[in-house]
Amino acid sequence: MSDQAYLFLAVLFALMGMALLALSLEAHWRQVFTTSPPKETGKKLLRTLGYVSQGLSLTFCLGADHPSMAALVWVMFLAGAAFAIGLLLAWSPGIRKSLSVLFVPSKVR
Amino acid sequence: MVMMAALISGVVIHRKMFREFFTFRPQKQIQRSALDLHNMTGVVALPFHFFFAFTGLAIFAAWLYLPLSSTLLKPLHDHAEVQEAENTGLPHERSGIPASIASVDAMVAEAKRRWTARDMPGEVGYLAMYHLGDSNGYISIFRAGSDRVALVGEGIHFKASTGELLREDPPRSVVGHINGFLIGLHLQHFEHWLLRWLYALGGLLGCACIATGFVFFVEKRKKQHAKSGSQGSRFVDALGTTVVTGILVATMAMLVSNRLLPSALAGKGDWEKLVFWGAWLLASGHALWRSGPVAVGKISPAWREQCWLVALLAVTAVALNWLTTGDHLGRTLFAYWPVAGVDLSLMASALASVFVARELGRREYLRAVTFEERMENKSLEAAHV
Repeated sequence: MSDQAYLFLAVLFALMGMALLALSLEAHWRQVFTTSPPKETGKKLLRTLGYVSQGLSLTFCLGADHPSMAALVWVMFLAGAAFAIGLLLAWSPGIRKSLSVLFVPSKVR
Repeated sequence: MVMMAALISGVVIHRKMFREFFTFRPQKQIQRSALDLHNMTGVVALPFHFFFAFTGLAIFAAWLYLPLSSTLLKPLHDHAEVQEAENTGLPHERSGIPASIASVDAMVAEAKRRWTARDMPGEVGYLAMYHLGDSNGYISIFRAGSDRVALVGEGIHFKASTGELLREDPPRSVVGHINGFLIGLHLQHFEHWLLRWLYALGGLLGCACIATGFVFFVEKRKKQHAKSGSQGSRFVDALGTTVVTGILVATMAMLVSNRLLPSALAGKGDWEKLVFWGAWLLASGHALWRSGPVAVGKISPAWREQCWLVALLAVTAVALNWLTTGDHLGRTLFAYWPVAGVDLSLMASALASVFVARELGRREYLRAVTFEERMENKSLEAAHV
């Protein structure tokens, strides 16, 4: 796989990880869904999936670059992803709804 | 140092760091949304802000602010230098015997071969010749760090007159690796366009954090000061304008002056610096002069006016570059990214400035209306009594 493909996947998983972490917080769940937020287990599941997704993002970064460089790229991807998800939650209800349908397993949705 | 203190105190003050990690409520009143954005931009890029402040301190405290070893401890420093030369076998002094120089190309080829043998093939990043034309002369060749975070390293040293290998630097220690990584991540010699853009994003988040901090500070005190008749928030607001939009005005003015001043002008660079500082000083004066409305709890028109000025100067800089060099986006796009990138960034800044200026104009109008209405209501009440 090419470096670009690895980096693209890393961005995607960083975004997904941050989206899942945001959904594990009640306030943001209510911004996205009309249903009541999940119970403790659901929240834990969302949070775990979020961290796993971020771990995968790091793995893909390591596929593209020298470890020292990959670590920096990953930290910056996380910052960018968190900011992007924050703005998404604040500004565009339509987009965030369609994204969550893609990313969140139907069990907790 | 101040940045580090601000970062640490910010983390201590911000209690709900994780619960409000993604929280930004633009529809709330400005004080709330400015604080939201301040917290968010500060927290999401906290690792970036932190490692920049930290590595900046580590680099500059050691080399620039406290160069103790080469000033206060000069005899010790000189002794260590001689000692090191003895240990490495690289001559410290000239011998006084003239000598010619062997092929440097051959030395470069040999250095590259040795890096490849160490499983880190690379290009030359730094080449230095010592005691040139002397039989003690030697040439040091260092590998470029463009594919890693660390800077140049893996030095290989040759005798200048014969091209014979004098010394190959041993691999870095763990501490050396960490030191190289920390310095490299601050100075960014690496060739990684994506990581460079990500740094730009981190920098912009930092700017947003500082600017929203200013806005929050002023908004919180504005109304109290308007009631008590204090001029404090007016002064801080003017400083904020100077730092946020004023520095953009100064930067754009410098770019414009770079195209307007003749290239034959003696000390052109100094004139450009003068334009920068002069424009910044003028922007500061303008901000102070127009800050009157802040004292009665309204928005200073200086913000909006400087946004318009930034947009105007940015477009002028792009146009002047076209006129004086013939390079326009139609020609540079996809062909010469350094120029196209600057032009595109300037155009983006101009667009953002126009958007902000219009939005500020709208809010000034809204506040003015409500303020006047309030005054009218008050006078009606007074008449009624």
